[in-house]
Amino acid sequence: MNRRYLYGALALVILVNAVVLAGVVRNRIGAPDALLTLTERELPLTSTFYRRENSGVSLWLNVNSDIEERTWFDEQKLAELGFSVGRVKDSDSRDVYRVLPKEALVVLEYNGKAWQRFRLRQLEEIAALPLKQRQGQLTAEAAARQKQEKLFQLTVASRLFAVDAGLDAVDLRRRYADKGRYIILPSQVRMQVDWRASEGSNSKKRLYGQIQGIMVERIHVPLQFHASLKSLPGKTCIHPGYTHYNPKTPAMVRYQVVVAFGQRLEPWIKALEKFDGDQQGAK
Amino acid sequence: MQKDQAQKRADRIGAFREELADLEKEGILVLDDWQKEHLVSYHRSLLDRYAFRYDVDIGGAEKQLSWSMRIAAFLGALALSAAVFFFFYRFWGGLGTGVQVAILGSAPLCAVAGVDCAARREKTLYFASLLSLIAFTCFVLDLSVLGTIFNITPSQNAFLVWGAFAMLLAYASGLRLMLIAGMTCLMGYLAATVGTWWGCYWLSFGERPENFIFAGALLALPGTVPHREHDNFPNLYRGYGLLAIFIAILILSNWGRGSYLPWSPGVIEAAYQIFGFLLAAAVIALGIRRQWPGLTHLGSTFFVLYLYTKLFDWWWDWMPKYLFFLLIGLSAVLILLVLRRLRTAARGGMS
Repeated sequence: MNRRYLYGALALVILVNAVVLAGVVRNRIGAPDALLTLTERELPLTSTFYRRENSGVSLWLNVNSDIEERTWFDEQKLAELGFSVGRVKDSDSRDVYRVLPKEALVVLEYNGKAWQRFRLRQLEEIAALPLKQRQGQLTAEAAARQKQEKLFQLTVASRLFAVDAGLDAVDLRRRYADKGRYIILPSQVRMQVDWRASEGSNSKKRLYGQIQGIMVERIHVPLQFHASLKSLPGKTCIHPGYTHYNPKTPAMVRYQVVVAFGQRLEPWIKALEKFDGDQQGAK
Repeated sequence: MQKDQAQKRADRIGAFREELADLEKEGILVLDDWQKEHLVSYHRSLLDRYAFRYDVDIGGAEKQLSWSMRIAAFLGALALSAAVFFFFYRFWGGLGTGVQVAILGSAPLCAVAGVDCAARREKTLYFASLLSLIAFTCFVLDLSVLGTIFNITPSQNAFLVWGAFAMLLAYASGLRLMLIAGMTCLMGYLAATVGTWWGCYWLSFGERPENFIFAGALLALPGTVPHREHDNFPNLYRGYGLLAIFIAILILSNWGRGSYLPWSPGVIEAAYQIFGFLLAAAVIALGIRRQWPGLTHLGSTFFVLYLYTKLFDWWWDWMPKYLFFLLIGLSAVLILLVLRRLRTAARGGMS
């Protein structure tokens, strides 16, 4: 047994832990890059909350992925992020799958213009349902179901939307200066082909970008906030991603969370509180 | 001297004794009583010393039991590592952040101290190897859970430090299992880093097998340097590095779209097929020349694998199955004839 190597292993463990903890301190020191109060709609509980084998609790950063709000992520934006748009456009369509994902900084907007547009669209679609019913496009039952679904979405859907992406955090923060509304997060983005645009025409295919994943999608809940989460009323009806309307689980938003995003754009929970009975569902 | 070297010497003594007994029976070489007594007492004292210092296996039964102990230690280490992992996850939610950090940081330190303690008490290092794997698990758990607790952006650097830690444990006690764990982590780090050089996100490194060709080549390099203390390590470096390269080439020779090269998938696949055959042949030749049997076996295996993959591509769909398998069988006979000729040539060269 060569003990020099063992001492090296011990030193490595100590050094690496020190570096990691120093990074955490650096992230949390000074004014945060963003500070927001989000609700269960934007931060639902992850499924591990209900599993016995993992006693850790975390919340899922739930970004609304409504297709109408992705138009900003076009070919120009892809080129800005370093994708070779021209080369892929001129080549075989399947070549797009050879393009690897890249790391980029994505701007998330909370309860802003994107949400207002989403809300307006839902209301317009609800208003158009009686006409569709009269024209025979929908049965009365289907129209009622769609109305319930849309009203449900207005109550539980995430108000967090991706609105821009870039490579320079300082530049993005300058353009999206409201730290109570905009979050900048490292993400993985990918190039995709809009097959509908290229079908049946001789024009070149249209490319668009897709956020494949946010680097830190789960936010750990420290022990001091567990009691609030464990005493929540009822079972959650909100899941990460899209939540479909279910008459058995009424729309209910049960808590709000103050989340800070630090110097390294890494989040942490500063406060978590339950809504009282009157506030539930109104948020 | 290390345990492996002592074991090799003990094995040579055993083989020498058997050969000497046969020579005496055939009347070719008969030692007189003094010589015989002198030889037996010398070997006995040597084997006693090795048994005392390195706990080497002297007989066949001991060797078989040692293998059983090695397997038991490996399976036990895996099970105990899983127990540590699940135990922590089961209860960590009920602990404050400070306690979590303290436990995570101290667990690998305690396990390394345990490795040292076990190595002092036991020469065979079964318990030391068991504790080494637990120490490695604790360190992996340490960094991954710290990342979860503090919502840290994941990075490939974690693979680098896990790899370095496993390597240090491997070199401390000559544990091959830890060397393989270390090489696996370093492979992940190197492949991910090469991926980022091409502008992709590090977690996508698995989408380009060429990343593993580069990483494998780097990992095989230490295998060209003789190791004074752990003379079995270079074999592992060479074998592991080349295995990664061969597998990456096998994938690329069938999936050209996974390449960085800006050519059409068909051209890329053909290029890698040729490259694969040439590399396998070169590795066989190198293995024969440098007397590295592991490389010869690896090269031969992949040469045959590449050949059969190609035959499958060409013939499986349009040829009757009996004919396909007949040709596979005939190709095996052809390979046997070629290898026999090479073997005869090698024997002629030696004589």
